[in-house]
Amino acid sequence: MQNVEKVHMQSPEGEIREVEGTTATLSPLMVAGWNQVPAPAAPTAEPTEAKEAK
Amino acid sequence: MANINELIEGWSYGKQTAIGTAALVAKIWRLTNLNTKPWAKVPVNEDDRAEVGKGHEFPTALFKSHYNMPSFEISKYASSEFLAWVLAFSLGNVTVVGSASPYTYTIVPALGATNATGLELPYFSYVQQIRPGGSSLLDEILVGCAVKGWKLAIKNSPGRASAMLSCECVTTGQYTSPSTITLPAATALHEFNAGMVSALTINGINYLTGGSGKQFVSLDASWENNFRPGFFPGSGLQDGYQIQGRFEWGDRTFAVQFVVRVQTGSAEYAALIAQTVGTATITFTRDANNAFTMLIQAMGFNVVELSNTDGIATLQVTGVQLYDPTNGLVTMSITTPQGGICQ
Repeated sequence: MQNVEKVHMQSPEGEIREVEGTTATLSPLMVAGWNQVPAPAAPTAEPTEAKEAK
Repeated sequence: MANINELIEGWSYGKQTAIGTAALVAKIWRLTNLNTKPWAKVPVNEDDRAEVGKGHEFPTALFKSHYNMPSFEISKYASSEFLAWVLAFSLGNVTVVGSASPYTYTIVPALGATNATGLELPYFSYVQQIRPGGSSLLDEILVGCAVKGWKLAIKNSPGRASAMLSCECVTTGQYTSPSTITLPAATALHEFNAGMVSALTINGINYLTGGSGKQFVSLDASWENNFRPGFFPGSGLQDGYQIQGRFEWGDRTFAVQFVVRVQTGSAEYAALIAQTVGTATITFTRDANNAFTMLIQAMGFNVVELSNTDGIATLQVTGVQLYDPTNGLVTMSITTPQGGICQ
């Protein structure tokens, strides 16, 4: 089965969701006002020194 | 003096960040155009002939008015790159999938309620040059251009002309001359022709296979944004002439007509009488990296007229495209090697 690429979409209310990048999935979302947004930055690991200080 | 064949054109595949900010040079490609006319600039002067108090009826002075920029046609054979560009800039709501070539663009008409720029579509920059350099005849970049509408024509003829796409563009009047831009080599496009149609089903009638196979003659689809004039207080100046500062869509129209041969049991009349509504899909597939699908979400028939096309009895069908509350009016899907279109 082909691996479908995913994209991040944001609703008019601000909700961000990762969805399959197929026309069938994207079309109703776009009609409902969702827009493509960049992927949210991955959370960075807390520095070890900061953890130890706690 | 220069031959018009020396004209070279380029325009940005990336969108401008604002109507008055030219696109990045790195996002400008160079393409050919079947329209042989350059994009004219028309500054308009006015005079004082209507003013009483001069002692006579004749004008005595000129005043700068505005840039009345005519619309400009880009006419090309339909390719995956140009389809993606025209449809993205004319419809406005674009999602691109893919981190490397090929990219797939899903495009639907933007709605004012949810479009980040309200009733305005993405803007692009346009470059035209004849002998650019120190002694150029023409070298300018027009800033704040928008796609007003387009026409897609699919015909039963051989070659690239069997799938044509033309678009009509407008611009604000803002420009920079000389542009000082060195256009890149012309982009190699991946063009379609009518032989590459791999799916063609309209309102439940499959024109590629089954009883209606081989019966399709031609299809014309068009889009019109009906832009409102963009002059307003603060819209800006170029050379002391007013320029437009926005292009907002008006009542947009999406028209589709097609011609099929008449045969025993033709289903088009029955579909019109029964007011049957269904999806319409036309797909071009060149290869794994170049494809185009126009999916009309709900289409009925407005007119089915018996006619004659090159001596063959035909039906000319005018569709009426209905807005589906879930899937909208139309969804365009284009797979192309070109990334960054309208981004």
